[in-house]
Amino acid sequence: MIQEVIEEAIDDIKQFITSLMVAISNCSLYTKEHEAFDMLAKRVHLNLDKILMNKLDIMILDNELVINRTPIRDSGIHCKNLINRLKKNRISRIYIDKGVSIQEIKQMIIELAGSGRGLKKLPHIRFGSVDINMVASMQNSDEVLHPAPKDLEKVKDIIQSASPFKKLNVIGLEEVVVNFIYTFKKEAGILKLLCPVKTYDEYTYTHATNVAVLSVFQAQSLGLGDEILHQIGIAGLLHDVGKMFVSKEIVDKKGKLTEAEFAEMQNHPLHGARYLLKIDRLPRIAPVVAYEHHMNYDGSGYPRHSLNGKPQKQQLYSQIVAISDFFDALRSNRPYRKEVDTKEILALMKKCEGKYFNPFLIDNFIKIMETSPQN
Amino acid sequence: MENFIKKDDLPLDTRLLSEAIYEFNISRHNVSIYPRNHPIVEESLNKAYSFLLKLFELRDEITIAVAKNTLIIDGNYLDKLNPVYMDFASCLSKNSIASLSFIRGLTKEELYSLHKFLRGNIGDLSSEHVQDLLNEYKFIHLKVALIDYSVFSFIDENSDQAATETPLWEKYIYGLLEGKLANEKSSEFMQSMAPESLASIINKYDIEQIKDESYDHVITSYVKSSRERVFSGSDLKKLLDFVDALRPELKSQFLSSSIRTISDNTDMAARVLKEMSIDDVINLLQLINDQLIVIPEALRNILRKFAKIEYNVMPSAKFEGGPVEDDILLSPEITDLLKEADFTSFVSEAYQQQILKILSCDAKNDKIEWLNNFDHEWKDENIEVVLHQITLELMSLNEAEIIPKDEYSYYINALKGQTTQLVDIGQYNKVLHTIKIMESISKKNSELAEVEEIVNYFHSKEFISSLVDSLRLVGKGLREDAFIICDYYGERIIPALMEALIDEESQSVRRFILRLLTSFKEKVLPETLKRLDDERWFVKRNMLYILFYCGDKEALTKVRSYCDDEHAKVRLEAIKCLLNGGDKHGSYALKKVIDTRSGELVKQAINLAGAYRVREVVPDLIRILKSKELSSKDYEDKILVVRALGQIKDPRAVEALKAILSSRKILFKSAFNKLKEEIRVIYEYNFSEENKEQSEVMVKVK
Repeated sequence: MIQEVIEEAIDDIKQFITSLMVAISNCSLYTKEHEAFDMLAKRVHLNLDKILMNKLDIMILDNELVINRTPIRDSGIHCKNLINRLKKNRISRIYIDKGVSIQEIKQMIIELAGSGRGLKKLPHIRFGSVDINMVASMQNSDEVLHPAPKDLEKVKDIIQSASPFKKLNVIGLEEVVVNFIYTFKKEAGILKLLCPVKTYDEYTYTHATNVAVLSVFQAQSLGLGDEILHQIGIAGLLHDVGKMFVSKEIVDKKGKLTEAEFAEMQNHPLHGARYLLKIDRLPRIAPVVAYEHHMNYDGSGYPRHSLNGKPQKQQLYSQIVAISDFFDALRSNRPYRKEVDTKEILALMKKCEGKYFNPFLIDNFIKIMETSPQN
Repeated sequence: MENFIKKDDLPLDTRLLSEAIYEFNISRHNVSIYPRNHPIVEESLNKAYSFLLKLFELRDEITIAVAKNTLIIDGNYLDKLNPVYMDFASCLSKNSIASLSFIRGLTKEELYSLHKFLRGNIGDLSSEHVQDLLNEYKFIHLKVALIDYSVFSFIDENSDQAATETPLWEKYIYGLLEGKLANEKSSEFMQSMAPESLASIINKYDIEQIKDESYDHVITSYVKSSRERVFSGSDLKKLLDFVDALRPELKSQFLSSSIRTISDNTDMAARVLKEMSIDDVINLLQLINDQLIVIPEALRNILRKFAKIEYNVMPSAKFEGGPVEDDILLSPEITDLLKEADFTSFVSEAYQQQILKILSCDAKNDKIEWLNNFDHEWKDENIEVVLHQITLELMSLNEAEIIPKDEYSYYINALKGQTTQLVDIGQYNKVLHTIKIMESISKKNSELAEVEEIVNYFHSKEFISSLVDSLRLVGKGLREDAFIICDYYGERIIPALMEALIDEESQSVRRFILRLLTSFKEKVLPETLKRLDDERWFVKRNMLYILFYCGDKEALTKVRSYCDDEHAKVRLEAIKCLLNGGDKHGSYALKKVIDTRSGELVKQAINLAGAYRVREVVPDLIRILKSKELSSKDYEDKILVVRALGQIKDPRAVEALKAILSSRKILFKSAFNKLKEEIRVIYEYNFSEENKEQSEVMVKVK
């Protein structure tokens, strides 16, 4: 009997979460003007009504969703997505008080579907963070707890500011490498991914780092937000991770690849995507970039096969990484050829725009190169 | 108040579980003494397991709840004085377990793992930590609910005393903070505590009452060194973790104390820092900076030395359980790579300079407008859609063996989750694409059970029901794809759509579902006819609406009886359905309704007569036209009749219409003039000489 009641209550909570996530996803994808938005919000409101006694306390604790102090476990994709969504928006706590209106629910959905920055205070909904030591006081406090921008700033600082390792006097990319690694330390297990790449081939590692730097900078120059910079940085660093699964002889070969070898090499985006898809807590764009970085703007390139008969469209973030990849590959010395001069590469890239590369991104890239100080 | 029942009076399932607890308790003790493969362990496990198997014959799941040292099953307290139950209850309580559920399908291995978990005393770990521990066991058929002490209170007559009872170690720490004690034995006990546990105790303490020297007392006791035991890198790490878990206002003081402890002995500090990973050193420095702590000169010198450490003294790379991060950061391999000599073998001086310049360039946000076009690409939902496509591509590449067979189940699960999301957001074309791809893979590789499983899932009631749920919510805006996916599912989706139609409150969504259903044409008939017998009038009406579009002759014969339904809307819908299908019974039923001359229903019947040009009712309509008007409302009804006659175009009406035109009225003059005006218009368009021929043809055709 007790069990049944608990299960029923948990089911109601899960139903609420499902309706909330469906509404957020649809609002995020189709905007709030979508004709179904009103109905979706109403459903959330209805489901909330079932579980809202006095207040609803949604909390993320250590990757676990706790609602009204009840951990919601093994509850499927929607709970997982809610956790990710809240984490992405840097919210670890939401309080919903009795009397919440449908308008407030709509606003909450809109806020959660967006970037989550500057979340609005609503009369019956409060967003906040969890501080274990402050739990008791938070319960009685009417003060709205906004997500601390500390983490955001940290990422920004990590990427942009000088590193404490500058005194090690390592040249060029060292500072950025350390910054990246420092960033990655905040990402669980990411170095374990990176490590095999590094030990496999030094060039691959150097190249990955350069691609990450160039990609982050391109993204930054486009005015993309810090969160995206961070994601692109990681995706850039891991774009070639699939080479781990290609035979060492081929990757290290000091000469042109035979047709068969090239065919094997062409599988590295597939291996990379497969490998990264399985890694939790990694930016979701990382496997996409690993898969798409050898695709071209016009749909050519590889991987070639396509299930629906038309080539997959290369995403903007993959286009950014592809430009960095191409530039760094030609700009680097290889055992079988010398580096190519920047001007020549840029001219070549310009020539290939519209076919291999997104023309807007190429113009932006060239502009960065030309307007860099002392250039 | 308690629901205590004697064992013999307990329900059978509860009794079985209480028996199982006896065996369970014995096997628990055995597991803690003997290895897994020992016959004693095997035998006692078998006994406990066999009771549970019997239990599962009665029900799918049973839960034991724990209240301190009492076991509760289904609301029944088991004998509180029974030592076995008490022992088992206190074992569960000690492990922070509030309830334990056994689910059908439980394996002996899970039972053994539960024993293993219970064997390890989790002590003061928070529920989150206990959960982490539990997660490692990956129980599928065991549900363990942990006690939430913040909301759980146990009330009995001794509660006041119990509440004031403070555990020994907690007393000890408060004693330390108050500067009252420090004895070696207790210190050892304290040293064994986890940093978070110690911090959680201290966090409860009122900062005002902590004396300055108390910080040092705690720190030195916690990481006390002795002749046998030297202060190590792990001790420092423990200290840092402890400080990290403290309340913000306590951090600074305890950190200062920790730094003082480290700095007291420079040799020890150097050794300890050397033992620590560079990551931990960075964390230490960051903590010091955050808390604005002044680093003692001695420690500062040591840290300076660290900046000059040769990399070849750093530990070599370890991939499992080793300091992987340190290897990446400081291994000779990496530093060599970054040293100019080797670095330039890949990256020339000029290129390095270029990258440096790039890094110092300020980014300008002047591309926002262009970027707005790509805004959707950063949305989680869109990224998931792309990942879904990639997963699908990877899965279809069987011959290339990109996905090893043993990893298939992972990607199948991922695909399942992704497809659920696609359903949520109405990406029906992608859902259908996925189903077709998986079906094709399944056909080609019949040995892949996981693929077959997901194909079955896509055709399961659960999935179809979620699809219909989505159609109700967002399908209306994605009409074309909605029709295509419904067409794919055919008859299988019809029952779920019918349920949705019955359940739906929104009229526009109901209309959309009706369109989906009628798109099945004759395929929808069996389910529709089945539900025509439903007792609810709106269900019957909806079914008649479907039959209006899809009903064949046979179906229409079943509709006839609904022309006499007790609900007027059902009657009218049935008549409409029959008239549309050309069933003569429709005209007969319509005539019957018109003859009743009762209000609103007759009006609708008149309209139907016009719309379907039912000649059989023309005499009835003329009769209404000739009837005496008692109010202006009667004229309004007559206008409807005139319109219907105009639509029917039966010459029998001409005389009656002309008679009205040539007559005069004193009462309700305005209403009468309106009727005349209507007749003139109708007459001109439908009965004039020019249209006569055409009118006659129309009548004949009808």
